[in-house]
Amino acid sequence: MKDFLLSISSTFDYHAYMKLTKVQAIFWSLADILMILVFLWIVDLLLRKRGGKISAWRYLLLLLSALMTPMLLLAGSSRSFFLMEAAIFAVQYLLLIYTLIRDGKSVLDVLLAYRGQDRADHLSQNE
Amino acid sequence: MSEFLRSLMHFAPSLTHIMGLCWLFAEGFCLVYVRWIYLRLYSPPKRSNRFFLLLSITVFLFLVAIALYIAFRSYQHAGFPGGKRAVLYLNSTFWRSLCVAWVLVEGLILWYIIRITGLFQGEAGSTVLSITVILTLSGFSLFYVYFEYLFRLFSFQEMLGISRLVNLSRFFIKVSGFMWIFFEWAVAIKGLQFLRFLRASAEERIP
Repeated sequence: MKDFLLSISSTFDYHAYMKLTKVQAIFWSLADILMILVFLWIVDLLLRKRGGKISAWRYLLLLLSALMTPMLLLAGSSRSFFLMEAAIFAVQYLLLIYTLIRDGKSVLDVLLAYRGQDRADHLSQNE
Repeated sequence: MSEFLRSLMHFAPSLTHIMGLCWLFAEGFCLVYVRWIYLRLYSPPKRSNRFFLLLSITVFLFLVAIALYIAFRSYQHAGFPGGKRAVLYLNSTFWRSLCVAWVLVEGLILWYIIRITGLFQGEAGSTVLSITVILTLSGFSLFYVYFEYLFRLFSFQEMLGISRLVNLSRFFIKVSGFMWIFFEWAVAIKGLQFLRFLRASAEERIP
């Protein structure tokens, strides 16, 4: 392992690092977009059970971050890349945190009702 | 007054450190939330999330304090024992520790998501996945400890020049990046499975 790391230290230069960073950032952003989209769908599904729903602007913000993602490939310097990356992930994380704060409790209540139904069925099967 | 404000600027962390801490805060927030959901679904309401919450806040504030300390030390690195090499060591070690924190937090979020979905879809399927996540996190932590040992050795015995040390640190950051992106994809896919399950069963199961 030591020899491997020593060889890496002479081959893994700035250009290799930046190429890999751009590819990673695209995969990272795509993972975040999919994760938040699925989370919003789950929250929406559960809120509809209580007569609510998720407003469209949250999906629009997520779409905005998705549209910004390919721009990461165009960034010239590492600083401009980092600033762009920061802007994209700020939108995504703020959206996630806002949804958790606003709808977290309601989601839990619906899931608790679901689990309660599960337990009731389980007990009646055992009797 | 302006002198006082200027002196405060010596403690301002770099933009990279600020963003790193913000991302960690966001991920930590999600971790506390999924753990709270898991505890409420799994156990009676009396089991508290407070200790975990306080621990998370303490760790986060500790990291913020280190970022402030590094900013101050970087400002006066001319008088710092070890000079530029020591400042580089501090900066890169802190950034790597943030990367490790992201990996651990993402891994734990995945672990709790697996546990939560397992509560609905039967425990049997989730055990292997849970163990895989814990083993992966343990293996990664061991690699990190070994890497830090070697990096310290390379830094202070002056076995490598500064540019090769930077390359080495960047390599570790990329390995960490691969890990947390992998965990995020796994969370997304697990979430997708849970969504399909909920869609199929919500009509009859949710009163």
